This record gives sequence, structure tokens and C-alpha cells, in this order.
Amino acid sequence: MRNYETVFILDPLLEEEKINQEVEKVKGVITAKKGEVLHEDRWGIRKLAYSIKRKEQGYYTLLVFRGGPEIPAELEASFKLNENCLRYFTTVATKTTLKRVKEEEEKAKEEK
Amino acid sequence: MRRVAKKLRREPRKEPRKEPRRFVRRPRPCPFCQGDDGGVDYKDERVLRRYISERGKILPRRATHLCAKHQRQVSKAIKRAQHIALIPFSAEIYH
Repeated sequence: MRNYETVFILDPLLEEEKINQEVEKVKGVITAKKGEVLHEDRWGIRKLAYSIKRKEQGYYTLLVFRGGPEIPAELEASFKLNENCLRYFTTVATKTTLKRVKEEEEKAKEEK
Repeated sequence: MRRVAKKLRREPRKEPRKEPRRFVRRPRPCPFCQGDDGGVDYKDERVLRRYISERGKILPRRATHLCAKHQRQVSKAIKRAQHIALIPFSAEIYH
């Protein structure tokens, strides 16, 4: 079991409902393989540094999750098939990401 | 004129300098080595922008003043950030 993080960019022209669906779909891939989503951060619509598929903007989402090594492979396969996904990148979670996730967890605990 | 504390003001030199003035490079510590090292994050566009040229190229160590370890990390992070379109691979300069 390792901590991973994945950033993916969805077509910004999709309706909000459809975007939610797509994000849930990605999370579904993780949970289907017994992964656990630790953190979800939607950056929302951002300008792209260069155009991808003739789009100048993209809807960014960051997911931090925990699970086995088959999950990143599974994600890659599903992103490849997904026409609405402009770009994706999965990696072992960086130190800064984990730190932020931990901080947020503690904050959430305090509020409770 | 800038005010200098009295202590810092040097006595005027009575005799001329025997040896020529040497060039001393002031140390410029790597900013990532200060404080706790959380590594370089590829998602932190604002930080990474400091280490690319106007044209979008990764700056060399002689320009960034980073230590070898963090230069490696920065260069890797920039490449990742380019992939997810946070940072351009190249940018046109308009005159």
C-alpha cells in the first residue's frame, strides 16, 4: 500500500453535473480496487499554459489516495479511454501533498 | 545618504592598501535548504516560475543559485508541471 496522487484535467465545457460524474468515476476506479481516497482538491477551471485539444482552459482536480500498485495502472487505462480527459498525471504522493493532507485532517478534527 | 551606525564606519585608511582588493563571492544559500526540507512540489506553479526564463527554459544552476540536490528536484518538478499545463514548454517573446 502506498500513497499516490493524481492530477487530471477535464474539458471545461462540460456541465457541472457531468464534471461531478467524471470525478466520481475516477474515484470509483480507485475504490473498486480497494483504494481509499484521502483527499480531493478541485482547483476548478484554470487557464492552460498551452492549448490541449484546442482548449485554452481546463478543469483541474487533484486526488490523493492510498492503495496497491495496480491502481495507477488502472487509472491510466481509464483516462486513456476518456475523451473528456485532456491530461492526467499520477505519481507517488509528494511530501508537500501529504503534509497538506495531514494538516487539513487535523483542522477537521479540531473543528469537530 | 544612507545612515550607517557609528560602529560600522571604518577608520579612514592611513597608509595605502598593500595588496589589491580581492573579489569575495558572498555565499547565497539555496532557499530550499533553509528550514525543513519538504522537497519541491510540481504543483506549486508560483515557486517553479522563478526558475524558468521568459522563454520558458529551465534556468541553469549558475542563475538559480540552488544546490545540486534541489536543482535536480526543481528541474524534475518543472517538467512535471509542463506536462499538466501549469507551465509552458516554450513561450514566444513579443517585441
